[in-house]
Amino acid sequence: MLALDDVSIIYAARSGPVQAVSGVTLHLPVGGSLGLVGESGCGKSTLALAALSLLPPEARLSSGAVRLEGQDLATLPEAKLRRLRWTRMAYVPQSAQNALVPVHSLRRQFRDTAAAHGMRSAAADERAAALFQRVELDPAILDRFPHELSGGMRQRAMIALALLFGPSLLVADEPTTGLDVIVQRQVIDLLRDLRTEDGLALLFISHDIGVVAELCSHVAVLYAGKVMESGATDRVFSLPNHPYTMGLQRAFPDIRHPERSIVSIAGHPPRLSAPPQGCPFAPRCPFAQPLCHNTVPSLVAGPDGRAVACHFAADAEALRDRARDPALWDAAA
Amino acid sequence: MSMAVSVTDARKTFVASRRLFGGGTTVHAVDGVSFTIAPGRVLGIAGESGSGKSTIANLLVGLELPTGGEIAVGGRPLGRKPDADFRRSVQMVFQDPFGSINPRFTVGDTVGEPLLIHRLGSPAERHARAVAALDEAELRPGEAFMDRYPHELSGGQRQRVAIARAIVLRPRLLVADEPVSMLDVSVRAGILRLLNRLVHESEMAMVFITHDLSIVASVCDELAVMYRGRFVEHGPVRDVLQRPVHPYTRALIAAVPVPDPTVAPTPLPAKLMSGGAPVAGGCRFAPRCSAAVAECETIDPVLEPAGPAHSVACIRHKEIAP
Repeated sequence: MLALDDVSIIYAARSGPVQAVSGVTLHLPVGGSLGLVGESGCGKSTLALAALSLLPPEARLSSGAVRLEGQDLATLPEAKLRRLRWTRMAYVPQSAQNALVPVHSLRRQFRDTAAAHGMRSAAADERAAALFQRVELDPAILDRFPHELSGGMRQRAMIALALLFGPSLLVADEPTTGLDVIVQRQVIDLLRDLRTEDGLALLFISHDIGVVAELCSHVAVLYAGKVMESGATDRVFSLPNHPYTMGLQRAFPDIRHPERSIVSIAGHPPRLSAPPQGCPFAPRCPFAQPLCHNTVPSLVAGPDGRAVACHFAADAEALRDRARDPALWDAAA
Repeated sequence: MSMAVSVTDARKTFVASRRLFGGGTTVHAVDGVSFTIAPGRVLGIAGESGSGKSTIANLLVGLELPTGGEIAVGGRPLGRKPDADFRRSVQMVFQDPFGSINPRFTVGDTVGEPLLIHRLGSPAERHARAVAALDEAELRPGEAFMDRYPHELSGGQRQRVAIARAIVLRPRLLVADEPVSMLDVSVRAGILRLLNRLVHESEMAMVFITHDLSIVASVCDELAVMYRGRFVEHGPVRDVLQRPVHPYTRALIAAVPVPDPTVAPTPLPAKLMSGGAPVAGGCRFAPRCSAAVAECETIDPVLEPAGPAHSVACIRHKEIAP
């Protein structure tokens, strides 16, 4: 469905070039679900925009290719891309509040979007009503304005709008962030149903490993614009091979275990205007050796469809044992 | 023991959609909330948007005045208008460390400003107290941070500056409103632990407002769950998280994503999502509650003991207790 091969993206900033994404390879099969997890500045939103060929003017693809159903997006004219963007893939941003036009009713927004792609109003109305039922919203809500809806209703309306032309891929960037937990669950359930029942492929961007664990069959953990590790979600989260994934897991609270103390990962991500020489995580890694500080580990694929970028991936089992001890992370902090 | 904070039957109503010739609807943002916090203890208040938790924060710091009930800090009641002493005794840490500190102020100016406002100490003393506050907030050595600007700091460091500013006056009560929700996951634990330590090593009490139940255990001693302006459950934090009684608390806990893909998410009852508006005089959660019976629409439940220091506002709490 979607393939990113060795993608690097550079932003032209006033202070010089910023390497936001370096050498990322990701594959999302038809009907598959891939979660991109990482913290602010890890490149996950930039990758989402690259997948849609919607990078801002100051960003450029410095290497690699983004392919949708085999077509290299960089070679397509803008008019063709615009059509692909609604009919083959669609985007759900974090804030439906900002993505919807505040002064138009939802029906008007469906009709305007439809008209831009040559669909008539009557057909748009019919499709909108059907989609609202799909996302469990009363079609009567179509005549309301965005401010009259709760956050969860707006986000579901946004998802319905994204589905207007029946895309096969949904790119969702933190679509549940800022929602209340019960509403968040509803949106997650809806996205899961769209995936399992309607066969929609999902590229899901989140900082929340809990949400990704609930929704995505595959995951890529990003740090400083690189994939640290990737693979089937249950494998990656039950047996993480990269120290960053181990740290992130220990930093993430589990409501079932209030007695477990959560950890901080000392330090902060590197400045991407001057990337470090070695592994980008080495300055914060409790296991880092001299090798890590001067040689970049390459992403090595394993036999089980997993890949990891760590010089000591072979010792992952021993590292996992040590990473369970909060004192290890505290000592570094 | 004298309480650092005591809140008795606090109420705050707002008039919504006021019309030109009278009328309008009254919103009971806080509708009879009572609690006390001992010095050196943390009360977490959790709830969804619109539950009234932020209104409680605003009442505690005097940004809004209660329409009923009483709020006292260090034994001194908040009168008609918060005076300088009251304002000094309650300080707040906000959600957004990028918006809550002045980007043109140095760290030293930001942390020292409350001392200047309250005309405390000489310039040298203010400088020394600001450095000490930074040290306490684990920005060490504090002196090295005094001349830096917010843009040179990470989100976690900025939040520590905001915390240093809040504790520099040695308040009796710290109100932290979602202090880690804008921060990266990898630095949250450090801020939570810092807040927990600052409170437990001092006479200061803290109210910790959050929508995220998964972090309360790291910082709170007690937890209160709020729904439509009321506490519906209140008790020791682990007790409430591990043995929740109120159906709303249970739903909130079940809805939290678990970072374990091998565990299937607990399904939420359909009634939770579809319920209508509460009936006047009944339980406000009844329309969304799968345990509700006919009486729930006629009896407005009050907090009743459901265990040691654990109370629940549900008439069926004995039958449905785990």
